[in-house]
Amino acid sequence: MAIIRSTYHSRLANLSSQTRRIGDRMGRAQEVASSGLEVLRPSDAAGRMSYIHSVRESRADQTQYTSNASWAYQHLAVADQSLGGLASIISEARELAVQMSSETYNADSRITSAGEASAMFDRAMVYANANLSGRFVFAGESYDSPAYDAATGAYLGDNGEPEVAVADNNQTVATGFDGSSLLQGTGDVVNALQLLETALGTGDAVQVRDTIDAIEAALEQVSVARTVVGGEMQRADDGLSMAQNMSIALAGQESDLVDADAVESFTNLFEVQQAFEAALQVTSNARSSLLFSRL
Amino acid sequence: MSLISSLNTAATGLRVASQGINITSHNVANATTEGFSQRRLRVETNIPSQTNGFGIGRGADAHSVVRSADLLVNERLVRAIGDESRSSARFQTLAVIEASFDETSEVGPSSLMNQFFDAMGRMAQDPSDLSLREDVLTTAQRFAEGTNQLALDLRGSRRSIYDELEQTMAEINQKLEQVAEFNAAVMGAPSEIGAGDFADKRDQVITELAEEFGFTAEFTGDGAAQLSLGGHAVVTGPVARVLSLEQTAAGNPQVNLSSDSATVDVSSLVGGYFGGRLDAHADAVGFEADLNTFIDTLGTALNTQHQTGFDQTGAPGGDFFTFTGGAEALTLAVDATLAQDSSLIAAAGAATAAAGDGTNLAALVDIESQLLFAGGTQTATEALGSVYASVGRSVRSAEMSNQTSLASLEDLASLRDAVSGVDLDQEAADLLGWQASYQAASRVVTATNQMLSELMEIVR
Repeated sequence: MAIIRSTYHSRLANLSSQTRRIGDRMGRAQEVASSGLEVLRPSDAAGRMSYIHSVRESRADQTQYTSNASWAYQHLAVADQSLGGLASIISEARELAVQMSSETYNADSRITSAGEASAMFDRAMVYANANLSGRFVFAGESYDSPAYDAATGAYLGDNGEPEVAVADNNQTVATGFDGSSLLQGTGDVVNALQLLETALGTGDAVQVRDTIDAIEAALEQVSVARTVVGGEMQRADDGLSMAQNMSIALAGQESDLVDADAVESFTNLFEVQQAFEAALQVTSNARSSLLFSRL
Repeated sequence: MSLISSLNTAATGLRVASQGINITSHNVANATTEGFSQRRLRVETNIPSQTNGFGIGRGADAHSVVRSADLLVNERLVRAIGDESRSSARFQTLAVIEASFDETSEVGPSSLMNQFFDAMGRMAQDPSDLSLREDVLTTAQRFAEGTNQLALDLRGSRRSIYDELEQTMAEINQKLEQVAEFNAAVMGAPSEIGAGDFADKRDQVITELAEEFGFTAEFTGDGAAQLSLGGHAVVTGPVARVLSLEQTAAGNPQVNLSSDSATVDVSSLVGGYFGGRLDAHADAVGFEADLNTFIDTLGTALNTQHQTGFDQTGAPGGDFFTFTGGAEALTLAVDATLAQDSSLIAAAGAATAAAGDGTNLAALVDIESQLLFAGGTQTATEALGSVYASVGRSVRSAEMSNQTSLASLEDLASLRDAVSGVDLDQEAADLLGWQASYQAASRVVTATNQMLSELMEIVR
């Protein structure tokens, strides 16, 4: 086996080269340990770069969905509470209609009760014009102004249904409703109360009795509306939970992709530092191994 | 044989030892000189004289000084130096460019694009809310500015590369002239020592040129070195051709070599540091093109969708972003009119829609997740991630190439050192040898002188 001649300077050059390599590794190990990140630049994970960006985008989306779902839930809660109030009013109206349709009461009593029915209508309009920070939940997409004319009960909103995304693939939740559809479908909440007031105003028991069906239908309408709103609330709640869970899962995924393992990074740093110290020691020894120094 | 002859014979020993010490001191003095090849003294016995049928030795003579060099190793080393320098220059330059594609901050285009789409998603909560609309414009502007900055960094890198290459070109031509002059000196040198020193100096310049430009060198029988660039002779004997740099219409650097009859574009043949910088320039052009393609696709999709919607006054939407073809990333900006009035964001799906209609806004948000990029295979985030990945791959590839060429260079440098390097231990041993040799010859002179003195006493 041929032995290649090795000079003093080539030995030092080799040692210098090795030391530099270890120095480079130490620099990298220090960077990882101090930043806590394994991926600091695209070249640290070129193959995973698109995936890392997608995970970050998904995380940002989940934050958005969380905000949207929470925001929608607050508005839906207002709608639900309003519907609860409306149901209570209509129940009261039903009781009043049943009571006043009885022959036990005379016409004067019925006419007097018309004022009570009118107050019920006014209270119902307050609920129908429920809003959260000026956003009217039953006005459709025209939510910047009241859904109903409080005096006449005329619907002022539109037929749109505002919604926000709470999950991928365009999964949305309503943040408001078309009052003319939700409160005035098969049963008409506004009309039922107006009918009762009018019938009581006539003092006629038969006319009052005739409003009971409309009131029953209105009650049923509110019940259906509460189901609709409740369903949306459930979806918003599900969206919120899902977005929060996804956010946690994605944070873990991003951490796996870009964060450094603390124990591993510090162990690695320690090992490389030891190797660097050893390389410096060897270089120092090699520098003094020279025949000229013995002459 | 006379005592006088013995004196002369001893004197040859003194001369040889002196020259040996000279060579050793020359070697030691140049132990750290880049490109120096160790010298060895070749000593031969003088032809003996014939006296009375006896061959009487006449001492020794320093026959020649041998320069320890392996031309094959030197040629390969020159090539390896060029390769290492090229890969190193490309890697170092790309590492600087990569810093613009910061992965850890929140100000990169990728993060800013997410913020822009998120702002549109938030605006869906209440499309009539002016503060949410302003937020969309603000994040859109930040996205545009972040993209502009990245494109500007890439342009700046390209410009600084070109400026540096322009300055380097003058030095390259100067060194080519030097090689030609050294060739002439080597070919016309009166002594081997002188020729060796000229050759060492020339080889050092050749090494620098290989490092800076990737020339290959061939050594001819007359001692001259011929420098070539991909088959084009650049220095032949005492003649050097001139290289020049010009900027093409597209803004790319082009290296030309003047020949007797024409000028040849040798850009693709350039190696070394210069070639590495040209490679990095081409990489930067590629990154910018990728970024431009991304912005063009995204901007066009957003504009097209925005134009199908209606703003708060019921008027059709205009462009959301503006940009100039060929410099999309650098010129990306929110449409000037839109930037002044957030009510012009066309969120509604119909002219007569209520304030809360976000039909078109939802479609705009949806663009983020549509497969509009890379021939319908990538979303916006994936496409921008691919630009980052392309940068990362280029840097990684340049780094690995640099590591490989560095290892190869170190091997060849060790090999060259094994042949031509000065070994101080060996020189120390040689010094002891020449010293002993000189002392022994001196002792012979002293002894002979003593004998002659005694002879003179007898005669007296």
